[in-house]
Amino acid sequence: MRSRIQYLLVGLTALSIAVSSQDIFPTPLSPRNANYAIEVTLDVEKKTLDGREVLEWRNISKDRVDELQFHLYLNAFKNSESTFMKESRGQSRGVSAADSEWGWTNVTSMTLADGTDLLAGASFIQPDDGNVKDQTVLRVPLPKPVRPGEAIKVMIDFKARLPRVFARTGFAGNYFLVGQWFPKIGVWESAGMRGRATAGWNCHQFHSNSEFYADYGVYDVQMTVPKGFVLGATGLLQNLKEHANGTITHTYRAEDVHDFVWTCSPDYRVFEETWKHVTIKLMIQPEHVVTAKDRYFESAKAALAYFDSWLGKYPYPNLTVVDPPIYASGAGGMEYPTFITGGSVKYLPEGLRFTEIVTVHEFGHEYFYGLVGSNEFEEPWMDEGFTQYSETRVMDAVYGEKSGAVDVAGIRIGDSEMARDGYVNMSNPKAAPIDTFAWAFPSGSYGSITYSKTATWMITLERIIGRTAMDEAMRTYFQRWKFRHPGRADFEAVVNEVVRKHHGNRFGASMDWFFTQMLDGTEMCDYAVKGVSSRRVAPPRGRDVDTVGFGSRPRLYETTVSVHRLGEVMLPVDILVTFSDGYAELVVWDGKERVKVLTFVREHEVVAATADPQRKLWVDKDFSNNARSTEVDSAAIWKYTIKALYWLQNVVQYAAIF
Amino acid sequence: MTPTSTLTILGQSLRSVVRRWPVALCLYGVTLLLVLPVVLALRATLAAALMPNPSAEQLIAGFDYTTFVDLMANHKGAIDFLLRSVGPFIFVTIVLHGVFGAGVVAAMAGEGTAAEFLGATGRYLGRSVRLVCYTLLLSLIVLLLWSFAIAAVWSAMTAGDTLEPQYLIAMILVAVLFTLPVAIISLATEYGRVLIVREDRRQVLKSLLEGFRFVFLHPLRMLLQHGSILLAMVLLILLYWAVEGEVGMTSVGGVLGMFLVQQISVFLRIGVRVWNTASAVALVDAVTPEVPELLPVPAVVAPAVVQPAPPEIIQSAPLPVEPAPKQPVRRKTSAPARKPVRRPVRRPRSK
Repeated sequence: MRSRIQYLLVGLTALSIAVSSQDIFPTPLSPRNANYAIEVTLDVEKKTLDGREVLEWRNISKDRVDELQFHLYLNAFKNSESTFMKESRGQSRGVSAADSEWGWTNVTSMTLADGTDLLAGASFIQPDDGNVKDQTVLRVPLPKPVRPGEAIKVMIDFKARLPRVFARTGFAGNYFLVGQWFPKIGVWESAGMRGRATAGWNCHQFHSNSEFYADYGVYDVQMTVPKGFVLGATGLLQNLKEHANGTITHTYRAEDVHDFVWTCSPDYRVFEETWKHVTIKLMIQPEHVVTAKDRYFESAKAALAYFDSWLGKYPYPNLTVVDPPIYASGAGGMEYPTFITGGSVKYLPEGLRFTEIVTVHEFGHEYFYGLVGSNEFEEPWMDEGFTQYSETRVMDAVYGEKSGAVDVAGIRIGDSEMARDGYVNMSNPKAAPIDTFAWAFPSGSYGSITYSKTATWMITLERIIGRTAMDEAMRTYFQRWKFRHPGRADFEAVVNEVVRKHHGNRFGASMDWFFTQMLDGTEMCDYAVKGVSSRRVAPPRGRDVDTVGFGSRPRLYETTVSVHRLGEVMLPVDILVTFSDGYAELVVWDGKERVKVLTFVREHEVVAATADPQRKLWVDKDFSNNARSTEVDSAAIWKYTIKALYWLQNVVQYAAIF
Repeated sequence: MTPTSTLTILGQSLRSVVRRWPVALCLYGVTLLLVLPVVLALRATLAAALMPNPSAEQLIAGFDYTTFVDLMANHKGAIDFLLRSVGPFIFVTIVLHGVFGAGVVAAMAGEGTAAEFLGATGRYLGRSVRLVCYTLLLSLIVLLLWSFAIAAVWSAMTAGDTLEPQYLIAMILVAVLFTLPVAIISLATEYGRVLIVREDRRQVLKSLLEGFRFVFLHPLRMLLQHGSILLAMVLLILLYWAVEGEVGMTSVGGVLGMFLVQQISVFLRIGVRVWNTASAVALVDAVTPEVPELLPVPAVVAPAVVQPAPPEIIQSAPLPVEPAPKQPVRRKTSAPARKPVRRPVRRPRSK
């Protein structure tokens, strides 16, 4: 009875929040089928959360759903036996887990609105790896199925403890980044959705490499923290209420989002600036204000402007940028709807654009993850890779194509160069195809393949089909799939449609030949010019040959250029042949044969031949073999020889310490 | 000790180095000969691997990350041997520096001809090698033990929720803590070497220990004198960077220009190293009475050259408890090079 009254109160509270909260959008932007009203109190001493949640889930499929599945992400940090901890070995993003600071979620009660207990029949399941000690997915059978179009309301009480932050969420000192913190329902996928054969829940365990996937909805969240703690969260602040016990309740509302995160710390300094309709709220550490404040704002605005004109409007009225302290760096570089965490170091030189890169990258996720809700567990390349590609676009456009990432002491590196380097020079670029579940990547390959390889092939695609077509494809994909859950086939369909519109059948009936190689294959692309030579065309010799007038004809040279396909990937490649009179001929080769021999007969000798002179094929693993010349210019060799001489002389000199 | 005395020593020793420029030239030649075969081999390997390649050739125009990375990644063999040679180079350098150090000391005390430098290098070869061995062994032991202390300091300073300023302080402290023993051992070796040559000592280990004693007896002098020389070295490096930034290596002329600048820079820095040794010789001479000459000495020494040390040096020098027996003192600059005494001799110890 007591619990019924309790839930009634929670229900009423939720109702009152909903009524009192001001709508952000006059009409819903998303299906809003997973809506949460949550009250939570943070004990900053014990690092615990005491929460009560009302979930209203609506079945928007045509299937009958007879059970629910919930993510209990914090249980990934419960002990060393969880799948996350086993996979990560307690390491994430260069930070180690603290052995004495475990995190967990304990669902103490789960009932339907009528008081029916759901917890009795609930059990932990491990759909991915069968690790029975993993408790990150809770299966909850329902007394009766939820029919298509019906909604179900579930009341959940939970207690949680935050881990010391090492993988996105947790605490460090009096700093709290509270992410993946509440029992969260999975995504019901119908047959055919994202290529799925049969309908069912998509609710994966929390893995070291994987991120998240959820339905859109409205979040009304009341967070109670000690007075003096500065708080920021997904969505917009609706209300502040002080309590006699020295705490304060912050009420936030977020609409048309699929996650909710919050942070608090007494140390934050808060600054606000606006860009068009967006209020950018920067929550920054005091020690970073002087050096990083402007860098955060400028890069956030640059990203907002670029994405706005490139893909479409950022619909939310706010963006919160959080700067974690260095001792909580595990919380940095993460994306949540309307809320991103960055990264900065007090003494970071301006030419090292780490702060800008992280800010732009995480903002990019507002589009590819936030607005376009792809499945980060199963198709991580569709958010991380797309975002990495977007990051290179923004960084190189704003900070320079050759200095988008680094511009220090004469070392200049573009962001797209960095992305390519991350792929072609990773320890094993053939470790796994891109289209691999996040947790199935061999150790150490997830980042380079998901982020860097995807960005590299997207740049290649852009340069093959042209930027206009690529931009239209990206824009169409975004507009068509925002607030929905697209899969690989959906993106490919958009690209095929746009390429056909712009190029007809120039690239074939579809671009599948490209996607198959890039997404399913592990092979590398490498074209090389192996031979460049010209020889004088000699007069014909022997019997019955016509040599009349041969001596009076202009001298002719036969030029031979051989281009080899050293890799297995086959892409159309331009070959530029330059002659001594300055004439240059561009030949387009389909890139399929192992060796392509080009022959020219001209009055002038060849000077050089270059395969892919514009570096369209950004996935080419070695540009240094793409060109060959007939004239030897050893200046560059001497330059590096002299540099090496000087370096060695320095080594000899500085080593002479005793 | 007064600042003037340090300035005097620095000035005297700098003039001494300038007068004895063949010593620096010899050392420059040695370093050049040491690295030249490797560098020429590198040139040949690079040329074979990369030419004729427009990608490589375009590097003359400036740094291009993608081209550079691809060349490095796909022609590892061409540069691997260069990277592998760094370790052995460091070892060979330490040994060579030790070996030639005695020659430098002798040349600074003498006329500073190349023959004198090379002759003394040969004469003290065995002792120099022993000194290097002792120094390396000692460094290994000290640094091994010291590294535990450094690690403990780092852990203590960066434990918990540490912010950047504290990390910076910890990094500086660790750097200082690491540099301190290295600097002390380096200076002690230098002074030990000076003592070996100056007094023709055969007990190398004892000389090294006395080098330590000397360093610890004159910490402020060490800091001022050798710190000043280190500062000069840093200024030379900064000057090089400034010139490099202006000239660049983006044209054939620029490459040639920078080659000259680099070699001048290397030569000057070698000169500064020699200055360091020369100042050590001068300091030992200034604070230590001349070795009693047991062999027959010239009967008459011109009074004009018998001059007391400058008053500030006399004031700052640790005086012997008992007045030292009067000995004829010859100024190094005016007296002909004296052959080192072969027999071990006792000298009054300074305190």
